[in-house]
Amino acid sequence: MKQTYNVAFGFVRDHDRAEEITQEVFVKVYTSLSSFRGESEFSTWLYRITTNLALNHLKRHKLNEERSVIIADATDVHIERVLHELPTLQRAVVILRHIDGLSTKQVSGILKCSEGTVKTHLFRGLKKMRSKLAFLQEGGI
Amino acid sequence: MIRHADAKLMLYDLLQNELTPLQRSEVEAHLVVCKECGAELQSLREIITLVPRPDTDASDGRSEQYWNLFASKVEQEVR
Repeated sequence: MKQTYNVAFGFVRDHDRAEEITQEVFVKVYTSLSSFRGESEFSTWLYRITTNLALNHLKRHKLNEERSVIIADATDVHIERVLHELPTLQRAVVILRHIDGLSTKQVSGILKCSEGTVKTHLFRGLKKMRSKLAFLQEGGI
Repeated sequence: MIRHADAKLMLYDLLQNELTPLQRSEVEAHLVVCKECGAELQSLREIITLVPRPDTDASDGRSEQYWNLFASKVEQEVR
């Protein structure tokens, strides 16, 4: 349960929202358990549900200015904005692989893509973030 | 010898110390001769410094009592 919460938090960076998603995940797991065929590890299936629900959640609750205000640190605001500007798959890979620290193999199982695709999305996503956040280093924020 | 495209995609794992000794030595040998990968490595190092992997889990901020209550809440929800 904690690990699910941590993955959800990586996406939404907000404790209340992570809690809401975790609750949704376990309700979904309970109601869909019969559809789990054991083709992947249970944890992979669980993280896949978490990722899908977190991405849906983000779509429903687009980041807005009000959200930015509650984050005290200006650097965090910029990082979160740039992270959420990434295309969906790149964002999911950066969050799961870099922020949550899951392995390339785990992420490829969750997103149902090859390990090479995970590495490519991670590289491109981080590169894009580096370029968009370059001003933070130049401006010394 | 490792291909340039493969080496480039292994730079992140190199920075996170997640390569096998053999992979590590291959990527490091490639870096000696490839300026582009050297620049990419530096760029990745900068973004990883700027956006570090959190050293604690978000769940650590909640007490055990919270998790017990949360589990009960979820249990009630699915009943």
